[in-house]
Amino acid sequence: MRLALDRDELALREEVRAYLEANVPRAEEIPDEFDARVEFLRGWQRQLHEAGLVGLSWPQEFGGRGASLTEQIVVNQEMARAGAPILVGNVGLDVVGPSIVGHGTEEQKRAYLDRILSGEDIWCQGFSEVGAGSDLAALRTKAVQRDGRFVVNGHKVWTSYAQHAQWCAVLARTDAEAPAHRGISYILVDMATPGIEIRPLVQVTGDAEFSEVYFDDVEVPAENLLGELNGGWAIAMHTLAHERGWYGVGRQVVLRVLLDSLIEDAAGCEREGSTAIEDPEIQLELARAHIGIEVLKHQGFRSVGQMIAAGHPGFESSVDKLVLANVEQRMAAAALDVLGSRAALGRREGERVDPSGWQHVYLYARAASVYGGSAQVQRNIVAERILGLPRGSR
Amino acid sequence: MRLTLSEDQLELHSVAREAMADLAPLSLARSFLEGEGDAAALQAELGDLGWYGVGLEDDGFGVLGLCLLAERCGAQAAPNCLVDTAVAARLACSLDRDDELVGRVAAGEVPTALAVIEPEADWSLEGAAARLSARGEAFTLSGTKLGVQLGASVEAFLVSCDHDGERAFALLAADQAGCISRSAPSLDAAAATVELELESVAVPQSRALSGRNATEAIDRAFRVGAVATAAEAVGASSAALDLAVAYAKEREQFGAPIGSFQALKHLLADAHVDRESALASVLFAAAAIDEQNPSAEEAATVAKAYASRASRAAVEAALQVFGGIAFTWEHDAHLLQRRVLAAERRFGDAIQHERHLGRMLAARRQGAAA
Repeated sequence: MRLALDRDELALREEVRAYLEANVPRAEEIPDEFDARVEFLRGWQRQLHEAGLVGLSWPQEFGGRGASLTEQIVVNQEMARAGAPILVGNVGLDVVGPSIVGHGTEEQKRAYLDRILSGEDIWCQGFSEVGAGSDLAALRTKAVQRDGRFVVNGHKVWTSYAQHAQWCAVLARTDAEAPAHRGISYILVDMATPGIEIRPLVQVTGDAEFSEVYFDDVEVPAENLLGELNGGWAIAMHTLAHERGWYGVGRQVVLRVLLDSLIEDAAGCEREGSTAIEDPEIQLELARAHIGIEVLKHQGFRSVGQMIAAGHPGFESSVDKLVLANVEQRMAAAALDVLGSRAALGRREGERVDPSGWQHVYLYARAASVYGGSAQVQRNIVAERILGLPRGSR
Repeated sequence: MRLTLSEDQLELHSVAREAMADLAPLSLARSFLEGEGDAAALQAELGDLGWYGVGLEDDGFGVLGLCLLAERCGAQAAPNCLVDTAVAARLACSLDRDDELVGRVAAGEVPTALAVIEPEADWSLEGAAARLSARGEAFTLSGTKLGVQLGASVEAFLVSCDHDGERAFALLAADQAGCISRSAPSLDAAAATVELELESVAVPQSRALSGRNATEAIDRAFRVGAVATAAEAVGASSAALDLAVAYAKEREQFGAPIGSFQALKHLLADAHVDRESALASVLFAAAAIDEQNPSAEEAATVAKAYASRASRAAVEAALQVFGGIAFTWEHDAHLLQRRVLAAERRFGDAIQHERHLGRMLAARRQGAAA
């Protein structure tokens, strides 16, 4: 057990903190308009990469620092604490990159990894389809081998950053005869290839973070297969576990920063004749949100310990994901309670508390129990893979 | 920044698992429910195993080790005074250790029960009516205490009381004159609770904790008690969940094991999330205390509040899986349910700790704004 940081971690924290204090862009520097924001954030990632602060735990030969998981977490936490903007290449960094590190050929590693770190290549993840969400193995996008190439046809949806991505990690069916899980391959597709059409999807928050992607006879060189032919399912599962294993530890810092500003706003909101912060019920709600965020951290630290011991994330990451969804949604609900009558109003010029910001937080939080595998899918994983309950009908 | 148990701690947990399964099968807890319980043998065995002293000295186990043992006590709904004794030992360290009883309690050699609750005072330690009054060079203690665990078999009581308007504690030998104990069974029968009637019990100065140093010592000792009790709650709910999972694999309805139905899978999965996250909060808080981390106070509050609610949710889910059978007196699940409910309340229930945190958050904000 070791909660305190060791010397190396402390030194790293100081380095990162000093760097961020001097370099984090101010909120007003970041463009509101989504396309301009993405370009701005790409520059931010490049700057961080040049400072050696992206992909710390990646192997040194591919541009990382070969740092420990805990050192990577130190950096993630400092970024969140400093209110640093997210890394726009996060699909590549957290999801696709680790799969290439784990399953790629030497050529693939050399071709893709460094460009992921620098933000030069933004990746998107072509997994979900209209008919294959929670039941991902039901996916129908096909890749047929022809003349040393894959020809991809199909339709992907909920594809974050697709309109800004250079590459897409596509799960496609390469053997229609095999059982569902054994006929899927993981193929790296250049988004500039003819035959790809992208239609942005506006989400409930009003942002168009994701898109639908249509593939019409898209030709992909055979060497863009990651891992074995028809071996894509295992890689995808590794990818998703990795995403879940990581996410909670970083996200809890973001939620902590949000809660701090909610407490601040609670002092500026009237509720039934006094400020919200003086209301004992509101204090309880804030305390419960605070407890949740702390426990998300504790659970994350425990999973990290298990990940370090096992060398990879396990099914336990589904526990983290379920805790995260609960905690994030509870925090968002607390915000509505704090704002009371104002929670549904629009922003008013000159007012200290901006309800629209909390509406965005609330709406976005609904996704926490859906993305990366819905809460129901996570419960199935916990029940079957951890508790050993028999598989049954869904 | 990682929550993993050391080899020694893992070994301790596994030894404790075997020992408790052997020494305190659920049938022992049940015997109390039938009014026939006797905790003396187990109490002596735990003493021989050295459990009362775990985490006191620099033994490599720490408060975390204590929590691992408490977790196992909870899993067997065992009649035990492990946590009370650990708290008493820590408080005794602030007393005069030249006093023979104090020295032995501080060394973790004396099974001890905390006497805190009164008709009008609770685990917050506010407003105790039990009074420690000066008499010459010494004190006398009078009052009534409720819900004192294992009151008939422990050798000492550590009693919360008021001294000149301040929180205080007094250490009594169980057989002292004026210290009258009456069996008063409670929801968790295996806690073997008694009511104490204290009538001008003599307390030498060496056994009284009051004044300026007392508050800090009490807070620190109660922090340990809260976290270890949270561990006991997690152990009890976790054991009930294990039973329910095993049952869900065997019990068939509609021609299939009920554990293959998603409705039950999701119920059990949520309960598993509850127990794992509660355990994480306990391990974190225990490690924070052991490492003298500045977050220890807050972490203990978080752990007690969270584990109390999560353990109840998990044990209730487990009972639901059993359906009607766990609603019978003869089924063992309610022994564990009773332990969860009792542990939830000891050292402050979830509401008490949530309120405390809420006031802290509000005060911190006002402090920052000032």
